[in-house]
This record gives sequence, structure tokens and C-alpha cells, in this order.
Amino acid sequence: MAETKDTPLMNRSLFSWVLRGKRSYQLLLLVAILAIVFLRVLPLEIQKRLVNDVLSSSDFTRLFVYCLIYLGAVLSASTLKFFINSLQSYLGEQATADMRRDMYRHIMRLPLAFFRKTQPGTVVTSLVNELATTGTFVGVAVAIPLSNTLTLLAFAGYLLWLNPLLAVVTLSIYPVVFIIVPMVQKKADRANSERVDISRAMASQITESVSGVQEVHAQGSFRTEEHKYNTLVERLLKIRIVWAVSKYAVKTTNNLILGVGPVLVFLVGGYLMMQGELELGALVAFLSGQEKLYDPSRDLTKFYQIYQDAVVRYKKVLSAFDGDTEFKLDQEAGEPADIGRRIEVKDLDFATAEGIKLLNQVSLKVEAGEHLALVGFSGSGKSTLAQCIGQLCRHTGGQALLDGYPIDELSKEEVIRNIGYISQEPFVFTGTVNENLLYGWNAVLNYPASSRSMIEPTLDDKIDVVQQAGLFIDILRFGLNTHLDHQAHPDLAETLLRVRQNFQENFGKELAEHVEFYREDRYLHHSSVKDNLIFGTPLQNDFNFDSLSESVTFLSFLDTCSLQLPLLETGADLLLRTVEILGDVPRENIFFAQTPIMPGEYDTCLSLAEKMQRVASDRLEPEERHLLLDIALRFIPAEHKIIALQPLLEKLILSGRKSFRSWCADNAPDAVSFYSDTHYISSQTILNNIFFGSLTSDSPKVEDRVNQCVVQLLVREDLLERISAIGMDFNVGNRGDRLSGGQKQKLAIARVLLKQNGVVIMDEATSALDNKSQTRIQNVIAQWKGTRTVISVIHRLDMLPSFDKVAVLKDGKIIEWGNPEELIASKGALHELIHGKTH
Amino acid sequence: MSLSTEKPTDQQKNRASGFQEDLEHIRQAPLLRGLDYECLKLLAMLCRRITLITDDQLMVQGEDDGHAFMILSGKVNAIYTKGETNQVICQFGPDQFVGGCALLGRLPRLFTLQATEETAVLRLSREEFQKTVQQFPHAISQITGNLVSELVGWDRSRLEVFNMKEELDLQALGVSLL
Repeated sequence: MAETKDTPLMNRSLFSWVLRGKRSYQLLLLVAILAIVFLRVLPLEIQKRLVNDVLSSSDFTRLFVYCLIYLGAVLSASTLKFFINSLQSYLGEQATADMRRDMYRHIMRLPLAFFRKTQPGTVVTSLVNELATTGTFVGVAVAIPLSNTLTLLAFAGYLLWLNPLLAVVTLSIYPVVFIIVPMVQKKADRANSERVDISRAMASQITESVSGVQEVHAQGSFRTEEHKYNTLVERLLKIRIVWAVSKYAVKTTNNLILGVGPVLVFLVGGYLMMQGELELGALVAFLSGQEKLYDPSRDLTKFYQIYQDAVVRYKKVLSAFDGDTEFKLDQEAGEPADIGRRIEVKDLDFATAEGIKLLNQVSLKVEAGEHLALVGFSGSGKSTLAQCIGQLCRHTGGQALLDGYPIDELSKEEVIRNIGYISQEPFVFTGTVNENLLYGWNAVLNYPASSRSMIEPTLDDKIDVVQQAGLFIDILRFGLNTHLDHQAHPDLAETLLRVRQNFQENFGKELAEHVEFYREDRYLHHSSVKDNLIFGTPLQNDFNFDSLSESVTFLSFLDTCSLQLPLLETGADLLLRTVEILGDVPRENIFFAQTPIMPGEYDTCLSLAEKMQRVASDRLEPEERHLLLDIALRFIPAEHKIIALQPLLEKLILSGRKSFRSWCADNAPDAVSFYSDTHYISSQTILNNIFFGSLTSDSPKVEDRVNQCVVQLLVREDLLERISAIGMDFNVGNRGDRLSGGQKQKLAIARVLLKQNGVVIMDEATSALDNKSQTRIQNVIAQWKGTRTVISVIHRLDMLPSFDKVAVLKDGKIIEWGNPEELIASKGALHELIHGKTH
Repeated sequence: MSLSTEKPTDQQKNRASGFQEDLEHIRQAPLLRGLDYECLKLLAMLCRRITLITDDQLMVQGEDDGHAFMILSGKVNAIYTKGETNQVICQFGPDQFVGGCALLGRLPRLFTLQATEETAVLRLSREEFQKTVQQFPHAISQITGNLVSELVGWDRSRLEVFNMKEELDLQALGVSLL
């Protein structure tokens, strides 16, 4: 049966990718190949005619015409070859991209259980490396065998037409090539396979020795370890030699057999010429043809090797990801309906692949709008039950029903429209708060049928859900810590200046001891060196804060006040200390929070640190000096503790601040707007603009008080929504690493709330939150009674009274079921869970 | 590399930087004892200095804050709340490492820690800790060993004062048998 695009990925052969959706290109390739074969044979005929007819005559015009045809054939063949190579590269890259797309789609839909036993590295290597080689084969799968086989056949046909006897003798060597070469190649393949095994053994041995190096030193067993390692090195050496020799043997055998060809042509062709049965031109054409047969023959041998490699890799990738999607994705017909909110579970079983029963005959009913708590000790099956109802795993027996529909038979589209699931450790994706907030909503939008009925959430909708989830103050803080371009938002900057004035009037004295105010005669330890030096906002590009180190004007100023050298030295110290401490850590924000170096420039810093060990400072490249200067200018002594601000530098910067002001007055009067309590400061955050200083305290009580004051001030100016909209654009960092565990959970709760599902499943969804936040969210959830069904795995049993029902699980079974108060009063398992075992 | 003729020595720099002080404090934590020096340096780099005022809470009973604290100065009370009653269990002071178990996994606190005066602490989060130890293959086994050693030490110190004839609360013993 022919394979189609709809054939399951796991059943597709390697060759199915060759024609998949690219038939017109393959046809074009075929035409080009036929043309090039003709253009390769044509010069042979021209050669023959030149020798036989033209050279013996004195017809220069014919000579010129033949030469022109010969040249035309060569040029056209070269052009076509370029075209064929380009086309096969395109096809190869397309095939690689198709394979990557289809494989990624397949992998991401595999059951969650698959990912518990598969390393992410395996997925990465397969998608990035293995498929690239396989795709390259697909690109050449038609062109190389076809063009070379046709060329061989064309040459053979032409030679047979010239002289059948001599042609048979000449071509008789090829069957020998095609039999002997694969035999020799097999030996090379065996050696290659063994080489891979020994290389892996050697990697294991190195890992073991290095991991146990302390024991090696303690036992002095250097020679023992060397012996183990050297044995493998020796084996590897031998097999690599065998492999290399075998590869050359293939080449030599090929060359040797082909080298016999001209001898046969001379011998038989010479005899035929002497007998007058062959013309000189034909002999020349034979010799030339003989030579031209070599290339296609060699290319076919290479192709054979590439094919073998691709087959092995393709099979490996398929076997690594063999499996089926657990649930259907799209709604089959019509628009998915809002099914309902009643949940019923009947005799539900869930057993692992090893046969361990995590759920055993579980039955329960939750009417629409009811709230159910699942409680029990760790390993009792609470989360597994929640996952089965949320279609995150497929139960192995019984039924889970949503309004009478078996949940495992519903499409994913129907499930995500009707059920919102919040896990204990939710994943936050790289991007902004807003993107993460819309993540679930956008997922529904990506299902074509659902997208028709979706209405995009407004800012009010978003603010509503972040308030319910208790994330509003965090988002407000993100907004307040944003740098606002006051030229792009003049109205907002003006209003914030009013807020500053109100702050000074209402809370200035109360919070004065927790704020480092911007005073011209004081060094600001909570601000960067560049803020301290310029003490203002640049108005011209020459003083753009992001490229100060490259500004010739600024550098000349630094020289006039003898600051360039000490700053370079500070930058160098910061860089060297950071590199020394961080080493080769992953480039994640979490590791770089207390250094002025950004994760994105760390690779450059590593190279520079290495260079600085061996090269004098004056031999650094200008961009390297710029980097050092940038690092120094970003240095905030109160945050970046790896070095201390030297008192001398502090004094120099303070005097530099004064010099800069007078230098600006003389050289660039309109370049900078200096800090003044009547001007907005773009280089500082919104919060620092309100304070006209930086908050220095990290006391929770002070933070709470500051939040209250700021919210009060923003409400007065009707700015809460606007600042929170700015906060929603906060970048949460790599996989949310700029958020705390609690913030991640709140964001996960908010993104599910935004979808407005009729059923919400929470698997210890508030476990990372403080008591106040948990209680607030529980109060919000309690208000959904009658409108949304809630199934919640809870760890805080004091929340039980707000639930209608509770199921107590133990060893995968429900051992108690009913109203929380009644169960507690009956002094059974729930009572024991709350109060501990009483004797 | 030196960019000036009078470069401060490493010792001078170390003495002045907060990092070196933090490293010295972190090294004292029983749970982190014996860790690779490079790992300790990274932990010292990631932990933050926090200054609390009186009545500020470091941790709250029932909450999983996911932090460990090294007290640098000041004092904090460990308080257990049952119903309406608050009971001060013990007090922690300078150079004591508190709450380290929260670095290893989710842990709703059994006590509230509250500052009784202005207190400075080093705070290390579970995420910072776990991302760091992932970089050092032996760190987790060393930390597990330290934890076991602490548990055994806890039992041993009580057994030393244990008198067979006295009615001692036997529930307080046997932690090392877990």
C-alpha cells in the first residue's frame, strides 16, 4: 500500500520522505538529470568527430563549430550540475524540516508516562542531529543514484554503439566493482560499529575515573586507572586503524579495478585498430569514456555509504519515540460544545506499566457546581485521580464521565474548553506575564473549530483574574520597576511627577529612613556607577545609557577626569571575579542576578577572561575595553557583592559627577537633563521616580507599607490599571526564573481562570503560596459554588469546611466519602488525618 | 591583569567585598559542610543579605517559603502556634543556619520565625540551591550525608542524657531510625 501524508509517522519508511509533497521538484530534478546525462555524453561524440573528420580536413569553420558545441555542452552541464546540487540541497533541507516538524508534533503528543523515562537530551539530539543526516540523504536520494546510474548507462550505451566488442570488454569490470566493493565495505562497517562501542566504553571509563578521582588519589591507584584506560585506548587504536584501512581498501579496490579499464581498452582497442576494425577517433572516445565512467561509479559507492548511515539513524530515531497519542486532539465534526459540569467516576482503575495499581475501583459523583476536596497521605492516589479526570493520563479500567461523556473519549479540544487543570508545579514559559496569562486561552484559539467562538480577553478581564489569583500586587510591582521612556509617554511621566509630590507630602517622612534619596553630594549605593556619574537622563543619542562606553564624547570626558582607567580596572575585576565564581554555569538569569554581567554576554566574558590572563590590558581590542567599561558602569555596590566599591573610586565618581555637569555646560549644554525633583528620570524605574530615590529596605513589613502607600497614591491619580498593564509586559525570564515559586503558581491559577472553564481541577495548586494568599484564593473559589465544579487536591486540611464533599484516599482507594463536618465528627480516617492517630 | 600600577591585593579586595564574608558564613552551615569549594562559592554568590526589623517574620507556620537562612546578627524566635496560643520554642542567633530542610524539598513550616530585634540574615532559595547543586555531581550525596549525620547527632545527644530509670518522652528518640 502506498504511504501517504496521513500514514502514521512510526510506519513511514525513509523513502516516503523523498516524494512527500515535493513531486514537482523531484520531476524537475529528473528532467535536469536527463539533460545533464545527455550533455555529459555529447562531448565524447564531438571528440570522436574532431579526431576522425575535422582534424584530417582543413575546415576551420567546422572545427570552430565543434569546439563551440563542446564548450556549450561543458558549460551547460556545469550550470545544470549547480542547479541539481542546489535543488537537492533544498529538498534535503525541506525534508529535514518536515521530519523535525512531524517528529516534534509526534513527540509532544506522546503520553506523559513516556517523558518520565526519556531524557530531554535524547529528544534534543534526535531532532537536532540525527534527523539532519537523515534529511541530507533524502535530498540526494533521487539525484545521486539516478544521475549516476543513467550516466553509467548512457556511457555504456554510447560505447556499445561505437563498438560492441570493445564496450563489453570495457564494461566487464563494473560487475566486479559492484560485487567486491560492498564486500570490502562490510568490513569497514563492522569496524565502524565496533569503534562506536569502544568509544562509548572509553567515555564511561573516563567518567568513572574522574568521578572517583578522590579515591584514586587516596589509594594512589593512578597506574590501575591508567591501565584500564590504556587498554581501551589500545583497542580503539587498533579498530580505528582497521576502520581507516578498510575505508581506503574500498577506495583502492574501486580505483584498482577501474584502473584496469584503460589497459583493456588499449589491448583490445589497439588490436582492433591494427585489424582496421576501429577508427582512431573511436579509440580516443573509448579512452575518454572509460575515464568518465569513474566518477559516477565512485559517487554510487559514496551514496551507498550515506544510505546505510541514514537507515541506521532513522531507525534509531523511530525506535526511540515509538508510541501513540493517548487521546484524540480535534473535535471531529461541528463546534465543540460546553459539555457540562457534572463529574462521575465509576470503578476507576489506574495501573502502571509494571502492574502497580495506583487507583483501585474508585467511584465518586460531583454534581454541577459542587466542590470536592481530595485528601490523603502521599502516594494515596489523589493526584493520579485528578490527572485521570483532567485527561492527563488514561485510566486502565472503569470510567470517568463529564456530564455522561467518557472523558477519555473526548477530544483534547473539548477537554480544554471544559476543564481547567492547575498542577502543583506549573510550568511558566519564557516570555512576558501577558503571554503566559494568555497561554491557555491561545491554546484553545489554535483549535480551528473553537477559535470561531472565542472573544479576546480585555485588560479588565486580565486584571480581574490576576486579582482573584492574588497576583495583582506582584504585577503592579513589575510595572513599578519598569523603566518608562518619558518622551514616549509624556502624559504618564507628568502624572508620575504629581505622584512624587504627593509621596513627599504624605509619606516622605515616614519612609525616609528606607529610601536613598537622590542627593547631589551623596554617592548612591543602590544605583549604578553610570547613574552616579551622570546623575541625570540623557537627552541626546551620544549619551544613550545603553551605548555610553562606545561614545567618543563620553570617553573623552572620562579621560579628562582620570576615570577611564579605574573604571576599566573595576570592570576587569568584576569580570574576572564573576568568571572565577560562576565558572561554566548555564546562561540562566538566576546565576547572574548579583553580577552586572548579562547571561547573553557571558560567553564573550569567558573568552575575555582567558585572554586577560595572557595579554596586557593595552592590547585588548576596543570592543573588549567597551565591554569592561559597560560592566563597570552597570556596577551597583548594594546589589553586586562580588567586589566592594573602592573608596578612592567613590570619591573620583563623586567629583566626576560635578565635572560632568560643568563639562556638559561647556560642551553639550542640552545633552543631559540632570536629576531634579521636578523632572522625570527615564533612566530610573517608575518606583524610584515616585520616591526620587531607591528603596533600601528588604524588610517584609516595610515592603508591605510601601505597597500600601504606592497603591494609595496610584489610585488617587487613577493609574493602577495603566501601571499594571505595563507590569504585564514584564519578562519572566528563562522558563520563569525571574518569578518566585508562589508567583508561578498564581500565574498558573490566573491563566486557567481566564479560560472560564466550567470545571476546575487543582492539584495542590496553592501549595507554594503563603497562608494569606491561600486563604484569599480559597475564598474566591468558594464564591464559585453553584457555577463552577471544583475538584481540589488539598494539603491544608483547615480549608476543608469550604468544600461540599471530601474524599479520603488511601492506597488508591476511597476509604471515606461525604460531607467534611460529618466525617470529622464521625472520628474516622479524616479525623485521624487532621488530628493524627490517637491511642 | 592589572590596569593600574597599584592594584589592590586579592586579600584586600576579599576583605572588603560582601561576597567573601558571605562565603565564610555559608561554610559554617552544617547542611553544607564539606561541599566542594566551587559549589560553596556559587551558593555564596546567589544568597542575599536581608535586614529585618523587629516582628518581621522569616517564615510562617504552615507555609512553604522554600528558603534557608544564615543569621548574621540579631535574634529570631521560633514560635509554635496551636489554636490561639503562641509558644516560643527556642531562639536563634548569629552564625546559626535555620530552615535548611526546605532547600531539599517542599516543606510547609512547623514553626514561625520572628525577629525580636533588628536582624541581618543571608537568604538562600530552594531554586538557587537546587540549580547550583545540579552543577556539582557529588553535592547531593554530601548534603544527604550531612543530613543523616545531623539526625544521628540529634538522637545521640539525647541518648547521652537518657536515664533508663527515668520516665523520658520516648517519642523524642529514634529519629535516626527513619
